[in-house]
Amino acid sequence: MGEISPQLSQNKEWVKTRFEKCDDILNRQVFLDNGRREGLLVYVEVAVSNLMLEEHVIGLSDVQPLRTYQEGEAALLAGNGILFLEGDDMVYKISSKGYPGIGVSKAESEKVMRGSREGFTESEKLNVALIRKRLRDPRMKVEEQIIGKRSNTMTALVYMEDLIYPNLLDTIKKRMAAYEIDGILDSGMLEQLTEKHWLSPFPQFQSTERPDRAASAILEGRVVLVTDHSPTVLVFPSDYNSFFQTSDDWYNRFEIATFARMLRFFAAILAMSFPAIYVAVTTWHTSLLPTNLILSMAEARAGVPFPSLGEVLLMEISFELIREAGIRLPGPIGNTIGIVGGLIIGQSAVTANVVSPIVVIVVAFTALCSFAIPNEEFASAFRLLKYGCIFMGAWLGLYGVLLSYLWVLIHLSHLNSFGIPYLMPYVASDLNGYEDEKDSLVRFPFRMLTRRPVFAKRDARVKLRKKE
Amino acid sequence: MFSGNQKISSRQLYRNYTAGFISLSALLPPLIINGSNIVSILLAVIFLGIFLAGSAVIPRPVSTAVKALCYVHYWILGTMLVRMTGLLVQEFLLTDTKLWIIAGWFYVICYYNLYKGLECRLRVSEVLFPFFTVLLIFLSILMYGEVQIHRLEELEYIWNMGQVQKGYELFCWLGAIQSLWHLNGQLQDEHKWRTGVWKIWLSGAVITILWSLFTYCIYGNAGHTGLMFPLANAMTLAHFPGNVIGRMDTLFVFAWMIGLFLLCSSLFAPLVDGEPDKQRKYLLFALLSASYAAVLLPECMEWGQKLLYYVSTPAQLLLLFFYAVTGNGKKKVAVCVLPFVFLFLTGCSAQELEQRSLVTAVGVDAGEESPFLLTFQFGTSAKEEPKEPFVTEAKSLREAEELYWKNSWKHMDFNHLKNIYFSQEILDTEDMENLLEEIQIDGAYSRGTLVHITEEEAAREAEKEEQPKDGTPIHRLLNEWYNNGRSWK
Repeated sequence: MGEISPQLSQNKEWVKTRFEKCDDILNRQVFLDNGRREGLLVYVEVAVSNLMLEEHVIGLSDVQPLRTYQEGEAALLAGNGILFLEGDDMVYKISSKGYPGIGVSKAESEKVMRGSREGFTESEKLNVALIRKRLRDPRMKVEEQIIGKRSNTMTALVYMEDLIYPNLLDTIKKRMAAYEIDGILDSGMLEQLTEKHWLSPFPQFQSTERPDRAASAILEGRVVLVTDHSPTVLVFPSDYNSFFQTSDDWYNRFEIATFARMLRFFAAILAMSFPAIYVAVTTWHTSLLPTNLILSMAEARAGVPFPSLGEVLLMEISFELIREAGIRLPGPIGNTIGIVGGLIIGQSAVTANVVSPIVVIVVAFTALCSFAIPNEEFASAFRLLKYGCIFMGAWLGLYGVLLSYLWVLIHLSHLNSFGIPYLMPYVASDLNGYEDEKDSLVRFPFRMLTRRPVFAKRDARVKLRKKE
Repeated sequence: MFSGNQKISSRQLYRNYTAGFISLSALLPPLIINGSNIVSILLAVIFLGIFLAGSAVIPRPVSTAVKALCYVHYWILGTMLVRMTGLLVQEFLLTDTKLWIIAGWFYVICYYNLYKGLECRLRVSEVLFPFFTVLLIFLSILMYGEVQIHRLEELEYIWNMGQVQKGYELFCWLGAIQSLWHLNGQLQDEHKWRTGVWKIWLSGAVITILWSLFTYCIYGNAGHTGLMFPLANAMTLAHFPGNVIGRMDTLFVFAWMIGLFLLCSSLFAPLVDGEPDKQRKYLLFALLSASYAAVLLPECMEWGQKLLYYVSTPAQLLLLFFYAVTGNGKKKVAVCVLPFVFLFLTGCSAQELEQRSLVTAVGVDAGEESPFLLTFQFGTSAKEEPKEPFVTEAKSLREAEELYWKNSWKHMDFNHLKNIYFSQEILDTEDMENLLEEIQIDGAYSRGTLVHITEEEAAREAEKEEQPKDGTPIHRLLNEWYNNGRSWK
């Protein structure tokens, strides 16, 4: 880079190479001075509106001349338009209102205590701009593609050119091209079509509604797939660990973040197996509980007509029904149904001797655990597996629970997301010199997180270093 | 991008084999340790060290026929270990459940693990290892109170052929780690191979010796005689502080199972390396089915041990020697086609809480028609009316339990037995020894149960609502009995 060239053709060439594969950055040929002077207007789509371009290009006000390409690039990526003119060795920054702000929408399902409140919208263009707003680097590429014979849905692959493995892009493009479909109405449809292990209950794409999460993933060397009409973008490759991370894990202090992560991991195990452990302990391994507790549990069960398995299943299914009804009903009513349904059904069931009080506690605690998992799709897998676990626990006690754990673990060990072992960094973390473990169950202090995870290209893994 | 390379990391190697080694150490050395055969355990560990040193430097066999020969060895070992695992689960986790159900499920999961290939199998062990070790260490710490270090002074270091023979036999069992040889050359960091093997041996050897000394410090000289799994029995003594959790042996067996699962998976992996193609998957299925059929035969242990001691282990040693001297040789060994056994798993014997009567105290007096008059006191919660004790004459606790079952719809549950009372008059009888033997062998009775001798009727003490919380654990009584030549008074 350097000084702006007075030759427009040279400037056009610079724009072309510098912003190659950046489909969100547009350029428009303009003519000034009654068509005698040619110019090139470059701008980030969405960040600069058409109306504003019309107003400013005709030379109203707030135009700032810049002398170097570097300044021009920074102004462009900050959400302004820049104008090159034939014979002029300056580029003109045309101020704009910039990127969309918090007014766009809030992330409903990934709330954080600290950090941006912005969420993705239903427009692909706007969503890409929200990412661009956070990563003002021309190496962040945006490749748009239309999918769906009838829906013609716009999708965009967003990635950092120098960080990703090139075959990652080829793989996803091949998978996206492998099917001809009528319409893609949400990113979920695309996700199911492009997953390798499509029978698995575990998602192999991470989904997020948060632009900062997507930007963070791009900086890790991952690719973000944005789909029009969907406020959820897909992130790949993904691993088990990434489903337990939230944005504020990196914004909070490491002790707090580590504690929260440990809680989530523990919650995931219990979300799958706590009811099964209850059934196993009460029907097989009473020795595990102290005598007083087991006696009071036996007393509480007196008069309950169902076996432990039956009452646990009954309560679990009731809970799922309340949850399902709560989602379908409009906001305030849904919340009310959740609380009222939970309290009233639980209390009435205990009073009517349909279930014992301890089962209500077990089911409620399990529900809490499943809500502690940050990713809804991921949490659903545990919720589903819970039922298999319950049956095994009832049939073979803790041995059955252990067999269930082993089954899930073997399955997860076999899974991979675009070639990355799903259980990274708990397995095969030697691939990145055990660096990924620093940001797993335990989150090391920020200063020690100097390398990108295994997703990034081997020679581009340094992300933090102290200045000399 | 990364998977499918069939290369493993040194950490995966270490975790997989160390977990197996530790499981075996918890299973076998405590069975043979007594005051005079610590040398045999040391010898076994040294023999294994020599074998592993050989396998660390000698290239692995590449001929399918030779690998198949080795595999027969692992198959025999694996089959016997599954039977032992099944018995362990049956004894401590799923009493009254049929062995074929327990073993059947074990094989199903084992097959699933192996079906997915080497890389997947080693990832499983990589994840499970920390849980496994943390649980074992935690539970061992909880038993600290019953470990009597001074017993170590009683150990005798005797060197003779008998010790060598016992050492060799234990080495044959520890040979489950020998399949390491077949992973030579499969490590991502080749230069770490020898260090890796050395670390596995060192960790395993230290833990084997520590487990042996640990159980000796609990049971003393031959204190565990008659126990099926001494360490698991010892774990019945472990209680979580603050009375939050009851007996911990269930958790111990749970942890132990993880190690045994990993070990058996390594042993059954067909020809150890390579992607599981279709042919291998069929072979694997046939081998596991045959192993399953063998596990259900009690004689398999006897036959297996003979084969292990006199045929397959010597063959392993010869092979290693042969490869050390001549490099890759070829031996044609036919792989047997083994019968196909289909798993159809049904049936269980879980009991709901309300179907159990929690026995909290037992009184043992002299009977008139049978040797003992047994009184069983049952626990009730604070809100319940006290239950009538069950009084019967029987020649054993088991018989009394069956009588109770006939007269009531409930089963006796001895998991919460806190106190046993013996009246003075029965102590000198021969039947008393049988009763102690029964308490010793049956995993249902916690070794932490308190024992009391009463001058009057034991039944009266057992029937009291308020039960003492101090006393001598029956574990010490049993140890005294065995250690002093069954004269314990």
